[in-house]
Amino acid sequence: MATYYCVAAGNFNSASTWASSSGGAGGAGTPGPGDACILDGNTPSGPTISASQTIGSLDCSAFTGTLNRSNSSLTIDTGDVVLSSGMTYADVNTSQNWAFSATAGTQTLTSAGHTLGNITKTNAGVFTLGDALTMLPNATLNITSGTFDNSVGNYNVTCGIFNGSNSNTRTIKLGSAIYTILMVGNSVTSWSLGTTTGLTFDAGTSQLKFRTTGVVFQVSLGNNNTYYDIEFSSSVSHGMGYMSAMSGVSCNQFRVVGPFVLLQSGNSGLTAANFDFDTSTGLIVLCNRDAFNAQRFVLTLSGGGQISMDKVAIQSSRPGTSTTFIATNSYDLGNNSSITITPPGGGAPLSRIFTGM
Amino acid sequence: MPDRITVKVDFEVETERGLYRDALTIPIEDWPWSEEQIVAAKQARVDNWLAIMTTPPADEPQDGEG
Repeated sequence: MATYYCVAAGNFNSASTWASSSGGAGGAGTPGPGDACILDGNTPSGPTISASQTIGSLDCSAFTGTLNRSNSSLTIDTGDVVLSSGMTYADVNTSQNWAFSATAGTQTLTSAGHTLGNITKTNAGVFTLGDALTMLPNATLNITSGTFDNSVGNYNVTCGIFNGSNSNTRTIKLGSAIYTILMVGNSVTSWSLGTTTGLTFDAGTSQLKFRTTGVVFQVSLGNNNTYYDIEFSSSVSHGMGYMSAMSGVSCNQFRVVGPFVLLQSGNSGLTAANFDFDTSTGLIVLCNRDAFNAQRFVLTLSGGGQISMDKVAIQSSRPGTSTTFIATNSYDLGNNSSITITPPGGGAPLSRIFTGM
Repeated sequence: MPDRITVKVDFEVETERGLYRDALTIPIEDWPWSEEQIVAAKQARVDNWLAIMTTPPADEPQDGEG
């Protein structure tokens, strides 16, 4: 377990880049597993993480130059990663990966406001955040095993894909943070917890904000998972997404902001303490993705009561146990049951309502 | 990793898009920051997040496209 100080604008895997003291002579060797790597005030601007490499930790807290990144995976096997707000983190893309692989203990990522590429948590240790995390809009936060715990700092997380779907032993604790999932890839599963084997999931009082940029995306919630707040919206004039793996899924609030087309895949519905369908800026369409012959979009109020919607179009839906369902100024697209749907006055065409004309 | 001392400033700001929680990590050799520095650093983080949340992409798909 050695400590290496970066003293040259060279590649991370070059012995000449590293010294055994701050500002010392290069040539100390190439840092490897368990080794602490430090970029500080004596580090020139321009070192590069150039190839896949495993180190123990990376501390850039006193570094103010540019750290370049070429396509590779940097594995951190024991300690933390600390970037600084005064540095520049350059050439970021999703062919780059930060892998946190400790088998025990806690590893903390402090990104200092920099936008990162992919992040992967492997092995049995705990991965947590030292501040808010912003990733590229098509980058993946991948929890393969171990624990992702954001329940202490509860920092905001923004990424393209959150993937915790596998059969390894893993724990995901979301805390009370806002998770903004930016869907930019067509047909991408932007939230993936479909396989829940080995998963301990604690949504805390988190808010998941699925925000599409106009592409079709999938949210695989994971059967029987309990969430807190879930929101679907679009940053453009239309958005479309579908939910799957949602048998037994429940949440505190389920909110959709129009204009939005929300499809469901599978045979079960969603239970929430509150449904909020906000059509003040556009119509919402609820329908079944797979077939026309079943009322699959089953919405249930957990305490019973009435779900009220206005300016929606509905297909293959019905209320669940102890729930009534009314929709005013709305369109019946067929195959619904037990929903009171009142069409809009004047018979305005659906296309006009959907486009807000 | 050798012990390096930093000052951590946790903060949260209520925005129209919800509560933003973040932290500033400042090396001890740079401390203290002035109140103005801290406020500006916090605001920059919030502004960056709001920009992501509110700015449509430049290549918004046209009707009929993916």
